[in-house]
Amino acid sequence: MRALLLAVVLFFWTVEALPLPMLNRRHMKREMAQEEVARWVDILGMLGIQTTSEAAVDRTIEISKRSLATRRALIKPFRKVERVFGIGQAWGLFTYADPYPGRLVIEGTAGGNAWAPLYRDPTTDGSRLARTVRNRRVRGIWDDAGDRPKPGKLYGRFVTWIANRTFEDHPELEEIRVRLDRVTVRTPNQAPHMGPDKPRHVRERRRGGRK
Amino acid sequence: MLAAVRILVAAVVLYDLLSLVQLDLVPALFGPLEDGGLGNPLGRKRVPLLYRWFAADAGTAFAATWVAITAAGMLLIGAGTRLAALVLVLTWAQLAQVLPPADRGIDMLLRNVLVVLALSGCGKAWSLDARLRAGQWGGDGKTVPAWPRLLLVCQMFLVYGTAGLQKVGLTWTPVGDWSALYIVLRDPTFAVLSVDTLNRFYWATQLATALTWIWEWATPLAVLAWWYRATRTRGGRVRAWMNSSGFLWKWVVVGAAFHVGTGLVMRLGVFPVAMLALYPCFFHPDAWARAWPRRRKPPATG
Repeated sequence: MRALLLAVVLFFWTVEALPLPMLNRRHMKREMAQEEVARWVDILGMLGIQTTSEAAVDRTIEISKRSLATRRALIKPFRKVERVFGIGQAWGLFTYADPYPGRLVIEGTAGGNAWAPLYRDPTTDGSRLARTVRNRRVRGIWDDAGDRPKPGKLYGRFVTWIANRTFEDHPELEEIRVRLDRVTVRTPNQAPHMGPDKPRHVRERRRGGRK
Repeated sequence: MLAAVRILVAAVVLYDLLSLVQLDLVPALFGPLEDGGLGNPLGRKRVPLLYRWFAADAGTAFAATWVAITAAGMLLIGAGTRLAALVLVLTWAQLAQVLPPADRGIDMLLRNVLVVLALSGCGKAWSLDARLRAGQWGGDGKTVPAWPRLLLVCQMFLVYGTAGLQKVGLTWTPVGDWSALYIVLRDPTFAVLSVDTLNRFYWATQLATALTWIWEWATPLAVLAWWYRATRTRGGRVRAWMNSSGFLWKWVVVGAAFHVGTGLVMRLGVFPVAMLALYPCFFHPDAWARAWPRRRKPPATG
């Protein structure tokens, strides 16, 4: 009986852990994904399989949808137990290395246009602000919510929250600005990227109210 | 070995939860939107039981966090071990549902482990329970079922095996110049080393990328080596070679080195330490007994 139970658990674990593609149109619109698709189209072409980027994306999304639907159906009986215990097998350890990551920058001003840097990833001054945004759970919020073309409500909430915390620590500040600059990473073997990081998702909050 | 996993995992969870309290992050991460939280658990189709059964406010978030902290502390010292593990995993699961982006893969993995520990005999050694029952911290010396440890080993193989299969990004391959780790190490979110240092040692990052990829793809071989080790009395040249070459232990050592390395050169929070906390499960209790001969109390004489 015990062996049977263990076999069932292992079956569900394995099905859930299977590295199936979990991609949608939004994922495939990212610059990193488009570069990756273009490379795959080249590789497939060299192997004699002629396709276009659009066709490859369509096919990938189709496979992704079908395989995920199959997995959902298979693990459905196990999902209720998983929810109660908060368990599962869904994770990825740097599946893709993103050459366009975000850099969290927080600035403040006591008034006017004299913005002073308060935090700029990855440097830290050991302040409460730095320790807060570097906490792995908090990082999960701004990194997940901000790593998309249009950040959602959660990003806005994060900005309001971190601004209010910063106002507590810095009574002299009147406004806080948060942004997630787009960094371009080029390897030493590639042509160097010229120019500064691209400012992105800029949000400002004024003491005592939203802006 | 299960006791070692229990102590190490509980210590990691305890540290992690206490750091949230110390940074005053509990209301933001585990409280509802209406009371200073960043998540919106009440606006979801399935409201977490925590906020269905108790008041939806920051007070409940604090209370649940402290229940989890107490349970982690009890698990660490092995007081009411099974109950502590169960309470910890159930409370943590509720907190995780409040703001899913703040709950990372390592949290889920540790909860998987806690469920297994709750069903195991991990409290029968190196625990207060053992001290009270057997009069010794080390317990009564009786064996406990091995299946929880074997299940944890299967979990580790799954983590690493699927991590390897998922690495389909071309930067993990020669086509992408083995540049994945260089790119990851340049990500400001995880960066520790300067750009100059990384550029100077680009070759080392390429080597580490290749090693990581090969090591993860070698997981099926590690599973085979594990099986061959358990059936070492049977014949076969491959079995004999794998056992004599110590393939499994080399794989385990490289894995541990990988976590130590990433812990030093990347900002990954508790991830490397939490993964290392699970490594004792690779070792048979006999290996521990050989390394640390047990000192038994002499029998009482009249």
